Amino acid sequence: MSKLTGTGITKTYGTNDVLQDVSLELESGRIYGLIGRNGAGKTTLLSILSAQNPATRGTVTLDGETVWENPQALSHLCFSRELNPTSGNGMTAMKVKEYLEIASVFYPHWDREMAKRLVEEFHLDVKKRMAKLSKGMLSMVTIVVALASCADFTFLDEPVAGLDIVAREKFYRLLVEEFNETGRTFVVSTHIIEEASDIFEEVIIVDQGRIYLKENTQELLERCVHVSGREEDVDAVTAGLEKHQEERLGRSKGVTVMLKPGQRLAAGYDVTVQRLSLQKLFAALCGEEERHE
Amino acid sequence: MNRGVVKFRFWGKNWLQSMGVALGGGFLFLAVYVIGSRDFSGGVGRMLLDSFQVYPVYVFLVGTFVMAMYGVTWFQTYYSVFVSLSATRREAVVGIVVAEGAVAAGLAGFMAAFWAVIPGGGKYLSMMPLVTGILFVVASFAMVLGVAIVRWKKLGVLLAVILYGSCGMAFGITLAMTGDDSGAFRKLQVFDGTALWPVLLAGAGVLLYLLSCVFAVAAMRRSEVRV
Repeated sequence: MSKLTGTGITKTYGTNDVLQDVSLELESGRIYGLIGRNGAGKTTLLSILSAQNPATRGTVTLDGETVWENPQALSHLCFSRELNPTSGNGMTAMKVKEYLEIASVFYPHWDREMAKRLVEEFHLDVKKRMAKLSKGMLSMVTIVVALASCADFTFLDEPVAGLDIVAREKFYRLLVEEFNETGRTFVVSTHIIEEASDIFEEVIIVDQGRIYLKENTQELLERCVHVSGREEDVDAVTAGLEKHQEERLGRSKGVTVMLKPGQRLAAGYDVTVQRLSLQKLFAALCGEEERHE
Repeated sequence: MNRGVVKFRFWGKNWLQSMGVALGGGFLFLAVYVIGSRDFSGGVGRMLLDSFQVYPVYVFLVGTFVMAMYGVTWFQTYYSVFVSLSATRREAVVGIVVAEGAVAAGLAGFMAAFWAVIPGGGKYLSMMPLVTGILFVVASFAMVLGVAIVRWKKLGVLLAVILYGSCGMAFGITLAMTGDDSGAFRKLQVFDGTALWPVLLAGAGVLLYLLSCVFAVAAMRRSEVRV
């Protein structure tokens, strides 16, 4: 079983600390969901884990081997980034065909047949220049690269950005099929949490350059609840518990509670307890600071 | 397919494209400026033979332009893409600089072979050290400019323009200071094949190219990548 380990990763641009002392371990054979607000540091983290960008401090290793400038380690990693046709680099002048050809040069386990099949499935015109592709089509190209790379650790950054619902469903299906067949590790960074949460075995929440939590999705959702009711009842039920995002409406109150192992809500009060979706939980955890400002 | 073969095929295509543009462009210039203005009275065959003896000169002129353009473009186009597709920085840079060097060598090789084969071309072969030196100098400058643009963006372009402007100025001043011999430039056309300086220039060109390769690898060692 392979392990990709980031230790003490810090990334600074000027005076801006994008990542602060992040340590993270990714195990093979899992689908991780990487979620965080805009500017939280998700893309930067993935780019450092895949050695596409250098960390200011910290190290990344794959089974103990440093990943940076290590072709052996890099052959097991793929970070299919969100492509930006206006970024001004030469990629924009390339045709899709050429881009995929270059991918086949650098991914030693590149599956040509799969790439061809995916291109057909997404109805991509390989003769088109990248600059001429819509946002959705660019996402399709990143999906083709990610899946056909056959890399053991594959990171997808906003893979469904710009895709219509049919294409998004197709992507989730393809991802799960590939995962079931090969047991590859996928890290999917997305803002469309509601849709993707079902496929995340583990969720990693990044907030303000730090890992806020990394946990099995099911277990996380089982220990997080929304409690609402009369203010005094809610306060009594949740006393001593970890609370997030309190809302008040008249004498009513709602609060998101994260239970620790062994903790329970106090019984005997007239409150409503609801399970939360991952998206709601994320909003409660990472949105509260803004609400307090 | 073996990864080395795939890489070779990829760069081979780029190399062939550069060579094709240089050879085709050279031929176009030859057709427009030489063949079109030649006297046919000695026969078409004689005229074509005379004209084609200078074909490599046009290949050289177009080739240096192509090398300068492609050297910069390859860095702009491919470097970020390669690294974003899991190439090491060294791997990405080495591919580009080797391809650039191969174009310089290919052009020099073509010119030498052409002059060796075409009747009456032998007298031009003594120019090869000079031509080779210039080709590698151009390759070096293109690579440094390409690295500067990708690594340091606008600042890199500015520095490169200042550097190249200074080189041009130094060359111009040198010419002006030694220009009291008005026939010196014309003497170059009656090329002295036994002179040592073209050989030194060839050596300096290759050395500069190698230094540029080292510079490119070192400068891109911790570069940021955005796609």
